[in-house]
Amino acid sequence: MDHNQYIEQYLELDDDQLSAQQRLSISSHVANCRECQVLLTVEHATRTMLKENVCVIPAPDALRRQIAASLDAIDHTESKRIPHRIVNRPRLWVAIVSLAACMALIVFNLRTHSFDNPVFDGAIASYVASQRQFVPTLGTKSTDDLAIAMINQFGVPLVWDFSSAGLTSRGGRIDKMRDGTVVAYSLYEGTSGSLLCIIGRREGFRFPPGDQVVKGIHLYRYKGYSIAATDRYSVFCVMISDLPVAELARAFNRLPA
Amino acid sequence: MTATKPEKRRLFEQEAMPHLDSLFTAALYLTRNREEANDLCQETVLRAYRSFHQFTAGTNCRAWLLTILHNLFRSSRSRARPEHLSATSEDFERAIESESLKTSDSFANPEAIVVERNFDRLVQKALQDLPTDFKAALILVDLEDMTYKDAAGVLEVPIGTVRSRVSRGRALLRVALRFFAGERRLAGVES
Repeated sequence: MDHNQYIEQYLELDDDQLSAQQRLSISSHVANCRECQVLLTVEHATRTMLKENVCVIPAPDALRRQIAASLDAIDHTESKRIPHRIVNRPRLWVAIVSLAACMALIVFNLRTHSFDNPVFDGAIASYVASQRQFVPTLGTKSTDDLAIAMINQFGVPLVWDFSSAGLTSRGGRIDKMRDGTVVAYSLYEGTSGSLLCIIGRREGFRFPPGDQVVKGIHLYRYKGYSIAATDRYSVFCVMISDLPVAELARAFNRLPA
Repeated sequence: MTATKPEKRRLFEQEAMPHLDSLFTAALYLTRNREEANDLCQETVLRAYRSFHQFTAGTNCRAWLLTILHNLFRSSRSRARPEHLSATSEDFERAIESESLKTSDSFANPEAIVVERNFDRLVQKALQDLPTDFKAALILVDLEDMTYKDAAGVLEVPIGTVRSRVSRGRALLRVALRFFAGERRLAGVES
């Protein structure tokens, strides 16, 4: 071993990776070697310098709020998915109630979707977060201006008009994801509910066939939300809303062909 | 670990959330970008929450979270286009040398040098500019006080690799600081 290797091993003595004999051998070499002493001093000094000059950076409050909102969304979706367990003594009426509950669950699952879709889950999390806070970055509530922003970003004027469902635009924002992809959000609100529209490039976007398809837009009831998904031109679009699916279907039906 | 929903959330907030600052610091040094650090941090926490049932109570939660963070960072880096960052220690030394001799946003401009006169800023920049593998090892061992064994677990590399990355990383850090210090002296700024 050279001196550097001795020092590397010596610094690892506390790690419990070496035998007692190895520890003794390394310790005695370092204790009696002038060159190792110098190297050891430099290593310690470098570590101390790092610890003293690089401190822990507090996570921003905005990040904490965003995380809390996302955790709420996960709790919300999971609590809807997992039925409450009935723990009681086995009596006949419990069995009957359980059977009825199972039947209701089966019917419910037939009417809704029991699949898990990470894209939809992510979209729901974004929707829930938007209900707590939505900061438009496009600086406009006009759908025309939103369309221009979409053209600049994606090359297509993919903006929806939900005025027939009583929803008006609250503005849009364009975010850059960690992998460099760009996603646009536009929020629509009305007295009866709200809708978040998420648009991005189509690569890798997959969605299952919808319960209902209106003008190429697939509609779903998923984990308590109404979802519409479509991919057209070179982009995908996922819309999440607390409005009933039928309301969305009516709004899409009223769109020009 | 099994827990009802509110209990799961309470336990998660108790066990994992105190480490958020550590996660954010690591994310910031790894990505060198505040927005990316935010995303990486958030994704780490959400993934940890979804798989919290896999966490064994009483074990090292910070190491578990950092493992998730480093895994996510590695997969995002493998998807991303090659960056201008130095990939190897040799690249780094060359880059530092050329930076000290020619131009650099932070260090070539005398006014910037005055701004950067604080030694802690120099150390932080030197750490930030290290090749990722060395930087990750130094963050875990020197800043997070992890054992070589735990760091090897987080980085999913053999312990010998961690040992050599820590040693080489510290050496590179000294090289960078020598260059920066030399440059500051040239600019007439106290070192």
